[in-house]
Amino acid sequence: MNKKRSIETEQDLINALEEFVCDVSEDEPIESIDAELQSLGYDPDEIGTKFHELALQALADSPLNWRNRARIELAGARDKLERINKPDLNALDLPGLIDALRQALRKLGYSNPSLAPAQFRNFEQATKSDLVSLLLQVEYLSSGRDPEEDN
Amino acid sequence: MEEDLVIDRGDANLNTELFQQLQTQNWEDISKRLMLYAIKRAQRYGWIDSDTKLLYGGDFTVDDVVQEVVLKTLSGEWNRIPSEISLFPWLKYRVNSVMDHWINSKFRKHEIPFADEDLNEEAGEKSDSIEVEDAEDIYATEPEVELLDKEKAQEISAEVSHLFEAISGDPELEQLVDNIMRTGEKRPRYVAEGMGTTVSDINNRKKRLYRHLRQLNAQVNERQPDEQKTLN
Repeated sequence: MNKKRSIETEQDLINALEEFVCDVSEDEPIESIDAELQSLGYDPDEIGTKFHELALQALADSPLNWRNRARIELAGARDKLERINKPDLNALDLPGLIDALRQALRKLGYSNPSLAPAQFRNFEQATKSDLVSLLLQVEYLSSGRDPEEDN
Repeated sequence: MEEDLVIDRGDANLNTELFQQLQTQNWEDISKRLMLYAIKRAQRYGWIDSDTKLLYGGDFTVDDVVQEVVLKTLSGEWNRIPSEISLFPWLKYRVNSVMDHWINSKFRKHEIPFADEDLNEEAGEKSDSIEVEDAEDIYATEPEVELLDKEKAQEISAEVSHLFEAISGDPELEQLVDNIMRTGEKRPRYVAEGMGTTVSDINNRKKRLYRHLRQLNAQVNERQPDEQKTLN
């Protein structure tokens, strides 16, 4: 915007002067900006307060905010978990659930370190809801696995 | 809905850097400067109604433009690589782009009906209409274009004469205009250096010159039909 351009015509001159007077820089003191806004019929304090609040809210809600990123990723993972066929799991009895869990673990491979808590769990002492929850988590891990890895 | 907000994990570092930078800015200060910039720009093109503060088209203000820019910037909807362009010039560029886009959208809604449109409608036919911009392309013939160019050149020439007349009692403004004319330099810091004065002095002169230009602009706009007050 402020690049030097040679002024050859009257149109160039008007354009250059307009660019000069209409530009607002970061270096100008804020008091001067406030005074100009006031002279143009705007309330600088009102503008400042309004946009300060707007920016705070927008920053809090921004997907760039790592807190929101984590929340969004968590929501995405929950959504994926929800999509796993829950009713069938609930229909299984305890031995059926244990069997399904062992099969799912075998499918994922025993060397997977994220499965350690499930590997060493005593399934026979767990409640049905614990087993359903555990099976959902194992199936979730299984669903995120690259099919190429199975080959 | 949430899927729209999912961030590409590959951009996580850039997003973190961007967010940290945005978070540490003084948005109260930035917004005031952007507002002033947007008001001046809208006034420059005669797009703003000084009484209602509405922009051409009638249902949005410069506040709306600046709000759009701030929100889309803070939401990360518009990508900016901090190492490539600093924030404030980028925000001004975005103000230009939103303002132009909204004004143009309004402008395109002003359609010119064909003279026989009523007849077509009576006959149950689909009415045809063309946009103002298209209409200019279709109807303008070369001699008319030349005439328009000549008129425009005369207007600018008159504007320059009026400007020199208006500032003739103010040697500081005459000196400033002369400097810009000779050097083409518009950045206050460099103008001040070139004229051996302070930036603050140049900013004061700038405000006086701005008032003169707005008065001239208002006079020119009064003489123009509505459709010529849009994008220059």
